[in-house]
Amino acid sequence: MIRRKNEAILTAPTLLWLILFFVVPSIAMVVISFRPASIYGGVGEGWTLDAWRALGNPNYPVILWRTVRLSLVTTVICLALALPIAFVLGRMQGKWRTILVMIVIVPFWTNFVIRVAAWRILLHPEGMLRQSLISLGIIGNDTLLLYNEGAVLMVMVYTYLPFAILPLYAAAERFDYSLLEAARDLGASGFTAVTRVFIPGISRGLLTAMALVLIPALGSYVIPDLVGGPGDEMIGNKIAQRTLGDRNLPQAATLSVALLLITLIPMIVVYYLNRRERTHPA
Amino acid sequence: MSDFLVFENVTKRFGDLAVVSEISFSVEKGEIFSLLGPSGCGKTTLLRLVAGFMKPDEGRILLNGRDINQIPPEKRPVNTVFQNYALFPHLTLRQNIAFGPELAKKLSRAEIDTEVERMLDLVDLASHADKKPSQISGGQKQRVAIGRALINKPEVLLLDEPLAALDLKLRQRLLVELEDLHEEVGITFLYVTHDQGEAMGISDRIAVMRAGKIEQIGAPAAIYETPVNSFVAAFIGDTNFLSGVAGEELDHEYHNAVLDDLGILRVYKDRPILQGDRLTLSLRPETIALSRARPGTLTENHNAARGVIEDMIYLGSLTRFRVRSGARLFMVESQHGRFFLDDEKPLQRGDQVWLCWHANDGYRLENFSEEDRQLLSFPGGKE
Ligand SMILES: Nc1ncnc2c1ncn2[C@@H]1O[C@H](COP(=O)(O)OP(=O)(O)OP(=O)(O)O)[C@@H](O)[C@H]1O
Ligand SMILES: [Mg+2]
Repeated sequence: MIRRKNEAILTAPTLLWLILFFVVPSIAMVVISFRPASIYGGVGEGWTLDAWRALGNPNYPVILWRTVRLSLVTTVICLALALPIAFVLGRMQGKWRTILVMIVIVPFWTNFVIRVAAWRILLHPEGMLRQSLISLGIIGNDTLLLYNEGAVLMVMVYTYLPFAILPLYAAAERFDYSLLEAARDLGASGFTAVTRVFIPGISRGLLTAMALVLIPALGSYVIPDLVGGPGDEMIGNKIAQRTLGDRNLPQAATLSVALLLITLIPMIVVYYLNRRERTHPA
Repeated sequence: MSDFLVFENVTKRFGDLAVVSEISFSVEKGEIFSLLGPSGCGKTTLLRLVAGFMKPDEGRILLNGRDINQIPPEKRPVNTVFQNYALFPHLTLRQNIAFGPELAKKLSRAEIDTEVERMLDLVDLASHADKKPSQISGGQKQRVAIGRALINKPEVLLLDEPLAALDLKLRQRLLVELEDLHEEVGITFLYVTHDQGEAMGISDRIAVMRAGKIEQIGAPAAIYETPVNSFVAAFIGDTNFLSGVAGEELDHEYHNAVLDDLGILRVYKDRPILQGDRLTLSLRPETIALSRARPGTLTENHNAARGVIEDMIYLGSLTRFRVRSGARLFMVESQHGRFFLDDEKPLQRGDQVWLCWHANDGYRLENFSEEDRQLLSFPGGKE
């Protein structure tokens, strides 16, 4: 009983925070999505399904699908890159480990928009990188490094990679590497030992990494805006356009609710898997 | 039959430090061979060289006549019981034990299941088979680790201090279980420990190691009773070091010696010695008898010295005395003190006593080094 009470007191601030900054805005968003747009850019009186009907615009399913696809691919690439990095980092000792972890963290000290803008300069058609690649004959004269889906994907991977590395590293650091020797002793090749023992051993970190990459990736809009072409818009861009450009708040709210629903799916999956692991502890 | 696992001049270095240096010995098929030595002497390193987790810098290791240096760990017919057990936390006990056979892919699923059940019975864990390692006790984990290794039918089972993490009672019980298991499966055991009691209890032969070298190899009794040097003598149990100078020969079995602070005493001559040579004897504490009165009817092969009990510790099955004789301290252990039933008044601190021992019990060491006294329960032989 006392425990219950304590728990309630301890979780109260988090709960309050969530209600104030997540539940209330979400409800407001749902409410607004059923309002008409005001011609002055605000939200009008009365109720309407106009904003929801607009989702029937054949552009939206395409953009939604692109958003999901790019985010999933980003997540897979990030995890695939982060796993070996975390594996090595977790096994390292002392000075080098600190240095390498710092290298992962340092980019966070620069503003995210500035970092993406830096990529624009780097990949610019007149930029050094493209010119060198052309003169080396690696890419053709007509190949652009910027304003296409490849650029979006690359910058997304660049941006979200640390979010995959850090939780995986934290899990790898707690992982007992002598288990790999035990696996090899029992007949596993080095690779089998990693897949059968290391990956299950850091599964919690893997789930966290997945959520930390996938969820913000689904909401990206700065990256496609700055390095993507007109055909690379993601749902975040549409929300930004409706909010800032058209000042059609109900429409923006509808899209946001759709994005929220999509985002909830991985969150529910992660929550469910995590809970299952907790009831059948490792 | 013999020379099953052979080490030939094996050296392993970490940086400049030779952790194992030019070690040669061989283990016979089916025996329990122990590597015994203080922390950091290279026991685990030797084991890891056999398991294949590292390669020797020099020399080679032969198993059944085959050089195994180039074989990766997963292909070697040896399995390890790790010091911390290294059970896979995400798998149940049953899955842990099935790990090896599943990878080997030699058996069908049904055959593997049968084997796993049999192994679970052998290590007495059938009723816990579906638990995870975090849900069982240390002793049970240890048995899973053994089962997980044994099911692969290794030619050599490598055990790295398998009992070190357990409490005394459990350790003694599992030691007996291990011995029974060894009889049952007949596999060669290479057993690493720093606990001399454990090594003496389980081994057919023991190799005593120090600083990357082997000091002595032999059966437990041989090592205990005829240690080659003061390190082995002091590491395997407690002892008294008596140093002095060899005196005249008495007959073909005994000679005199002038022992420091003790005077002229009789010494057993198991190998030739020249008059005037320095010598050091190791005299085990349980070979010394204490009495109030001067031992009257001594045979001439006994030695006696006077002393005062300076301290005594009652340990139940035995009592340990610290007896001062002149400038030196003796450690004496006597079984069964009969504290309450003795007609005679029991010995007490401050009592004048006679120490008495048979000359044959003082074993002459080939080498003595003063610093090995530090390994004894109370090092202060002289002060
Ligand atoms: N990977 C390594 N790198 C450098 N030095 C090492 C390494 N492994 C072991 N050593 C050193 O080698 C020596 C022997 O180590 P080893 O683990 O074989 O000792 P041990 O006899 O098993 O000791 P313990 O009883 O404490 O387990 C130690 O001094 C240790 O510090
Ligand atoms: Mg060790």
